[in-house]
Amino acid sequence: MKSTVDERRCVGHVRCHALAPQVYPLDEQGYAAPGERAVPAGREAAAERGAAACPEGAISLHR
Amino acid sequence: MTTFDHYTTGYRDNWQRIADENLARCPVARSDAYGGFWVVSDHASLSRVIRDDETFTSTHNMADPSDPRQGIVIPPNPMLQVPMEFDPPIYNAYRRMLNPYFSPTAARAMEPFVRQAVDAFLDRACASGRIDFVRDLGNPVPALATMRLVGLPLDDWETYAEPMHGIVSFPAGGPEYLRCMAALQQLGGALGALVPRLRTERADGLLSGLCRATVDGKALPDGEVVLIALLVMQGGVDTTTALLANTLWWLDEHPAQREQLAGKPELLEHATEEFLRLFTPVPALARTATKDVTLGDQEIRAGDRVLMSFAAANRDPAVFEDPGTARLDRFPNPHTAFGLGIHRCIGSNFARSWFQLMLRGVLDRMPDHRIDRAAARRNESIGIINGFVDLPATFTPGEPRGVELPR
Repeated sequence: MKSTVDERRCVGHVRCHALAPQVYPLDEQGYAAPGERAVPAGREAAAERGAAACPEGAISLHR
Repeated sequence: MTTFDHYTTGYRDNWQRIADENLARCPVARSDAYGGFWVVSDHASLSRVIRDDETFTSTHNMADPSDPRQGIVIPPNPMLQVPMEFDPPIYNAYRRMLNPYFSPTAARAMEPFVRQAVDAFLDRACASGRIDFVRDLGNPVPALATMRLVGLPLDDWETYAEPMHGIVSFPAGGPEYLRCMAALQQLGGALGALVPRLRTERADGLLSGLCRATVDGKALPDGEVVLIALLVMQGGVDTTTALLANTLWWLDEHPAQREQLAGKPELLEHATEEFLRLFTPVPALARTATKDVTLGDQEIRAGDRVLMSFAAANRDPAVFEDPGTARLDRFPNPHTAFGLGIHRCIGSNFARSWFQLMLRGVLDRMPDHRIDRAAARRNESIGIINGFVDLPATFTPGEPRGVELPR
């Protein structure tokens, strides 16, 4: 599974990071690090919860 | 046309019913108060307004009151809110400069300081069996933490803490309000007096950072340094106070949920979001339309003022199932209590952390507290902050832990 954080939509609520810190690391601004990255094995459920928690709809998950 | 006025006691006492009625009948409504404005209540329209900074500007032209762009408060705030009342692209430059001071990492680094402050303030009250959750905890802890964040000497906390609460809880223009305003002007003066030295000497805190920062390659003028620091202090203190007070009031009414929360600290993460949704400490902020636009079934004209009711959007049944009911494990919970879009509350990481540390402290150390509901007073007006003037409570006295205020 891969996650993509859309940096045009992310405004730093960090709900994703609060629920799944290993899946959604932060950048130096304290926003979710933008772009596509692989979801660590075994963290798929956390990745889904983190994406669902984003109030901006900035996160998509794909195989 | 309605007479929606978010500053009246009628609104304060009936805001949930008014929000629910607007959501059902008139999600984009016209009010004739304060020269006329639109009230946006539904989550979808509010999201659209707040994410479209080109069509709905935050700009506040203080030099020309005939310019319809009068910022993010209705009626306009007497002081420019830097950088909240700026738009892109300059807004983004300020935000990038400020963000690192407010990151989750910064909030975590401050936790030991805040935990110590919570214990010290609870120590002061615990032997007496009486506490005012606003005056003795909810106001001083965020005040001390915000002064630390800004880099002000902590010795003066009593001079500034109470006025930051009083300025929004007392009726505008009255003697108490004027006393608080004078104290905050003194705070502005104290901030300004620190600036010349911080231009050359390095020190801890945001104020020092602002004195050395550049935005678009230019140093910030002294006036802006002070305005940013004042906004951070105003934004950081009474908002978190109001969230704590509303939550303790609600938990006093719901002992089963209070017991559940006390016994299972892991519930606090989702419960915090639900308290933010239900109590929305900042109930509304404004924008100004820059062009004609259709919103819901209404025609908004260029120059119209638009009030975004976060409090109403957080009760929108299209987004929140059974919105009037507190579900401490509600998920997902896309509430708008911190706003949405690029102007999202910069202090949200601190707010969540301070709120949780204060609530945890109360539940741990005063587990049988009862609020004196007859003596508690809500703010006369919730137009700016939906909070309490004071919130007295009693509990079985406990032993102080011997914790001093952090310095």
